[in-house]
Amino acid sequence: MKKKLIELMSFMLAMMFLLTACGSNTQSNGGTGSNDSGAAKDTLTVAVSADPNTLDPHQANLAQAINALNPVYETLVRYNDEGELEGLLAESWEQLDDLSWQFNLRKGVKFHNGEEMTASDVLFSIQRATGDKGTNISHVMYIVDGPACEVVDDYTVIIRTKTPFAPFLTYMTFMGACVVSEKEFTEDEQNAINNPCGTGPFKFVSWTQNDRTTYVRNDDYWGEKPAYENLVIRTIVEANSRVIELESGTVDIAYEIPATDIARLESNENTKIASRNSTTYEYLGMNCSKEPFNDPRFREAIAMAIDFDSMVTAVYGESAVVTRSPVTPGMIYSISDQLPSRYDPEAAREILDELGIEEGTTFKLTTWNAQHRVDCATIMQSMLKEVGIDLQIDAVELATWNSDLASGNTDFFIAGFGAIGFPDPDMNIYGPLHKDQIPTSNYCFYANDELSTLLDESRSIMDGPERQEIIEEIQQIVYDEAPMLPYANTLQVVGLRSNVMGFTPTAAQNHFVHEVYFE
Amino acid sequence: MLKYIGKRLLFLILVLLGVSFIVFTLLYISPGDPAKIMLGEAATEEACEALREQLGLNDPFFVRYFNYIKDIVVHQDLGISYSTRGPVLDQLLAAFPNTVKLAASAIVIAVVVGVSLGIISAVKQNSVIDNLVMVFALLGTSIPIFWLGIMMIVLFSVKLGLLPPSGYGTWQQMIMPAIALGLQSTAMIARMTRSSMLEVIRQDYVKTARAKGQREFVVIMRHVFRNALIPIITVVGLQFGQLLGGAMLTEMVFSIPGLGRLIIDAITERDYPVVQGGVLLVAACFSLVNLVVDLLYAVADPKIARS
Repeated sequence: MKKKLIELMSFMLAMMFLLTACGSNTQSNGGTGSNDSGAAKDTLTVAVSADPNTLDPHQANLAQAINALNPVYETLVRYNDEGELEGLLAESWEQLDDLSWQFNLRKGVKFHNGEEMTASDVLFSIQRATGDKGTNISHVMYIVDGPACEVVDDYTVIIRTKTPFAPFLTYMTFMGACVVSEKEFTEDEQNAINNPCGTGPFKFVSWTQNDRTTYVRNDDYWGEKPAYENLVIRTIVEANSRVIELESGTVDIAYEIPATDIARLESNENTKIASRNSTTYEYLGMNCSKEPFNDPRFREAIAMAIDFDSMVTAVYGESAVVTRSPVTPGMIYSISDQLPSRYDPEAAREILDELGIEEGTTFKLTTWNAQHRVDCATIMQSMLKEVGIDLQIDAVELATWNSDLASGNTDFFIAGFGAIGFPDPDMNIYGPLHKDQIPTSNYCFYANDELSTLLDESRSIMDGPERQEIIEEIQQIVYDEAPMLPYANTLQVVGLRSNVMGFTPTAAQNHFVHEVYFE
Repeated sequence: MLKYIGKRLLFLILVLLGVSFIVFTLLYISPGDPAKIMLGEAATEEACEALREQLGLNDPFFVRYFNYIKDIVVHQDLGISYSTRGPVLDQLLAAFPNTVKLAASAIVIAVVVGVSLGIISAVKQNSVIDNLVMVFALLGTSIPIFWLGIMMIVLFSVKLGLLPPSGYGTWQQMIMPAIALGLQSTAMIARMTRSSMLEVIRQDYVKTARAKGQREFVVIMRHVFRNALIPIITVVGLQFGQLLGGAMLTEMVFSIPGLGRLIIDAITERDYPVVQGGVLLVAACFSLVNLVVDLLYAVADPKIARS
């Protein structure tokens, strides 16, 4: 009897421990944990979700590397907070002919090693970026004809493209098009890679892999100098940990806040949220190289069977908006808002009956095993079940997913695509839809001659009504033919301490922090 | 003894060779193209091909394996990371000390707390304390590290503001990760100590020791605990070996740049050289810890040394 009593007590104790621990979780909602002191802060700490994979700007194709290099290197042009192009290292520019663009450089700009930046540095940078050293960024820089570029004088340089290329200036805002010091790279390349030396508002200090990069203010900066002296960018992979560090005040800015934490950070008086539409989209793709996916009517039936609006709300909450076009809302020429929802499961079933697709037919849905994609897959599975299609979800890790998509080992698949922060639509439509991009990025194996011609044209015509018309037509074809069904345009959600001012997120996963100040 | 150690070290080389071959083969047959992963979804086929050529990924399997082993033996070079383009050895040497620090502090907590609880529990068998310890042991093995880590951060950092929520530089920063990581081992060691002690405690020589009128403390520590040590050492050794292999979850939650995270990231990015180097290091550590455990057997039980 006594033994039983002891056992019972032990069990109750165990349950109490568990409940107390759970309780501390709930209480943390809206909890305060400010470590802010009254003294003027001179260090900004930013938490990012992944460590840079390189510090070589001509290898930097991932957001984490670009984040680490943004404080140090600068490009000729950049998008401002309003999304308009403005000169950075270039004071002005003009298009000389279909292929040539002349940039007039800002004078008196110094690299962190004290050397003045001249046209020769720009030429060196562009040629390195488009040569062997730039394989990782060739998907952006391939448009530039490196050997054909030339220096006019110390402050004037001409950059040429291989073909007439309308979104050229947009591509010049990419980190791979930044200006590096020719002297540093020719004297000791490895040292120049490991110790970035640019013209930016911060000088690089150190990189501890998987932990942090640190910077100090560049007091000789040509532009407005940052309001604080030290910048620390910490790698905190776990989203929960990033949020906790923000709440406890050990970081000032945290990137990539999960949807579930947005409301809590907004209601906490010590923290706030800044968000902006990204330029990327998630889509349900179909392998159009095989039956029945090669039939537009079948694809239309699928578009009708899934309630994408509800799905996006359920999975993403406030961290994404619905897009029905690969040209996402917020990008120029987007017609996403004009395209109606096609959700009508009964009509979908009728089409499937006409096509002779029997109830209970099974297809595979391949997705990368990231939680938001698996959640979407599960919802699509239950919606398609309603119209008599059984989905078998194949949630695989990233590398397998990549290889399955490229080899066409798919029926349905979920993928994401989009310009890494370029507001021009080109990056979003050319890769996944042009017939020449099979199987590199056209994973739908969708070869439509008319569409491919339009895509080529959209690249060769400069911005204006004519280009707008073409890009709108492209979107309409994609909507009607439905080789892919775009559904979500994710937002860049950044968490900030309440006293952090002057921060505006970019459309990409990498942001600029040199204009930040503390209140 | 020296001959024995030498033989074991030679055997270690064979183990490492086997491990390297298995890892190399598994990575070779696993799907995924490093070039595609490094360049991203929007990369062109030409760019991928150029990168594959540059990394030597187009060479046949045995050529690649042979080159890899040759570089290690001849140049002591584990290769260049596909993703950072820096030497793999540098990356491992940067991450490993953090893992050792974490594993060592976790195992110290586990041994001190686990052995003490086990002894108390065995001595007071079937008492309230014994039951509590066993409940603790059950919880210890069943609470996920991930959850425990986050709960501790919420309580001690966000709520009470007592400890820093992450990092690895100061001893304050090591407290929570070490406890989170060590809890499971503590529970295992407590259980093992208890059962091993209970087996010995009924032996005749313990009764004899008591009959001689020795103090209970001396009986327990010298006659019981000493003789119960062998299985405890085994468990501690195995646990420490595992901890050295990198504690991915703990490292993630507390943002510690250790070996576990390095290897997992490398697997995701198909950064073959880093995975291979990392696994070799882990295998070497495990084998060395096993060797130390075997040597400790001899210390604990002189009979083993004589044989």
